[in-house]
Amino acid sequence: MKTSYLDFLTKINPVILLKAAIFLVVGIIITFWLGRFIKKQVSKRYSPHVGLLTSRLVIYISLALIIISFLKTLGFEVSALLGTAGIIGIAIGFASQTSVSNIISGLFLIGERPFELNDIVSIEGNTGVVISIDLLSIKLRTFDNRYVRIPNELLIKTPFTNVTRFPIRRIDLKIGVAYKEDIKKVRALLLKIAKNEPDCLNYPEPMVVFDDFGSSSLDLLFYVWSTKQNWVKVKNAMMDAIKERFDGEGIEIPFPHVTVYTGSVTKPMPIKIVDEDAH
Amino acid sequence: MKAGEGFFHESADLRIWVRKTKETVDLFSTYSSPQKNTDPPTKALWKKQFALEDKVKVGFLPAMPDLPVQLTFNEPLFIPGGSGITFYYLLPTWVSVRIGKQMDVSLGEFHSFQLSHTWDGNFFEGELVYEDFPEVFFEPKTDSFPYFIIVPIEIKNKSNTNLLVIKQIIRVDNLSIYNNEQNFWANRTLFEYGKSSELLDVKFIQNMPKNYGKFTLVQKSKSQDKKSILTKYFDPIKMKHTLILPNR
Repeated sequence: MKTSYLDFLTKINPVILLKAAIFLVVGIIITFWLGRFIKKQVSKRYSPHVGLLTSRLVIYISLALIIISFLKTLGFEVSALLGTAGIIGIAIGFASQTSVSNIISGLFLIGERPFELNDIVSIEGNTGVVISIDLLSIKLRTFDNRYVRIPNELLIKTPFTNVTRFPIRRIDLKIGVAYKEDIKKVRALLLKIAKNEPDCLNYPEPMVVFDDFGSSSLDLLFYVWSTKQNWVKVKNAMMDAIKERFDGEGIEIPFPHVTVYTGSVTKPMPIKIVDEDAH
Repeated sequence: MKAGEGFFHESADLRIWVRKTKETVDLFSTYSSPQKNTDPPTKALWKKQFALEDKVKVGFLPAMPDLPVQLTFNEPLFIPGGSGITFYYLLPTWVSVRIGKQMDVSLGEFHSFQLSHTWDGNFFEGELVYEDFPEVFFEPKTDSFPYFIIVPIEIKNKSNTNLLVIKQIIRVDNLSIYNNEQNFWANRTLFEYGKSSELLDVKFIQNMPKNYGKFTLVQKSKSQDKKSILTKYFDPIKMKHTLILPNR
């Protein structure tokens, strides 16, 4: 086998070998340059997601053609080689079902397009920005700067959330007020706070829902809307404003209280002040 | 303005300081109620613009808001079929700080009065706009409005149906600003409600009215569309919540 390989190499004309090598190097350089160019142009015209996929497709096909042409120039029987490669490919495919499954899932995802590059997605406890969409997996950069690789198969099988799919988002604020408070007054004040926050959208309108008689508070749900870009900013601004206005208006935000009740027959529990100076 | 010199500008709640150093032009802006003290705060965070010239021209020009403005009328405008109205709206102005010989370098644009955001569209698509609740008037007032731009708006109802206009979006980036004696004016926006369908056509009329004195161009429109922008900016879906047909 070794001898035949050496024989084959010695038979190759050095000029042809040089030509093939130049063709290979130049071809690879041009392919990657073309890939970058296509990515830039397609991203500008359509989206970064489509740009990335198109450029990858062009690069893979071009590299395959270059390698086939390179081998053909050297005198390899390409059709036989491709046949062998096909058989080997099937064998490898059976052996690596997970990878094949990921590739097929990737193709489905490309067709379905449930997210694009730079979208924020949340899957199985990992929330982050999509930084790469590949044949086998997608890559996320989480907000604490971790690199998370998620296999495409998992994306097909598991429900996931695309947080930034739509241009506007609702901010849900759960607020508890003391039982003594006037709910109408609290509701009016909350709506006024939303109106005064410039980045909080007037439409869809903010809404206050009386959610529950809680264990230590009247629980309200306060829904406001913002653009997806301003979500964190508006949430912080609203929380700050609610605390500030409630303090200003004397509206109590209670924390859990425990009242120890010993029954109607028994006497109240005695309270003894131990150190008067402490009060 | 030479090195070591500074400028102060106040527009409603907006306070802007510009100073020249040897190599930079620095800008600081803040919002507060008018004060006697015109000195910049000691802990001001200056925005620096590189400028090698010894002398720099500085200008404070009126500017249009950075987003379209949705007018939500307190009293809806009733326009019978086949008629039209012209009204005037006071748009809170922005201040553009500019430097350079041609005043072509912008250091920033700032609002004099803050308007709140609203969403023009649905949950899936739309655009961010400002919302204002204007008091409209049908003759331009002669008082001076230093922090506002008078925006003439004409709505023609070419259909046979009566219209009740409760909301209207103004594409302020398509409007130029003119100086007219005491006030700033924008050029007229013409909304034409279609004859055969419920489509709305929008045109930006470049000519300024002749019976209100001399108009001098201060700021060209940011977008240069002069003709109808129906197909570019408006679609029937958006108009459904903008114009409501009465007599139901």
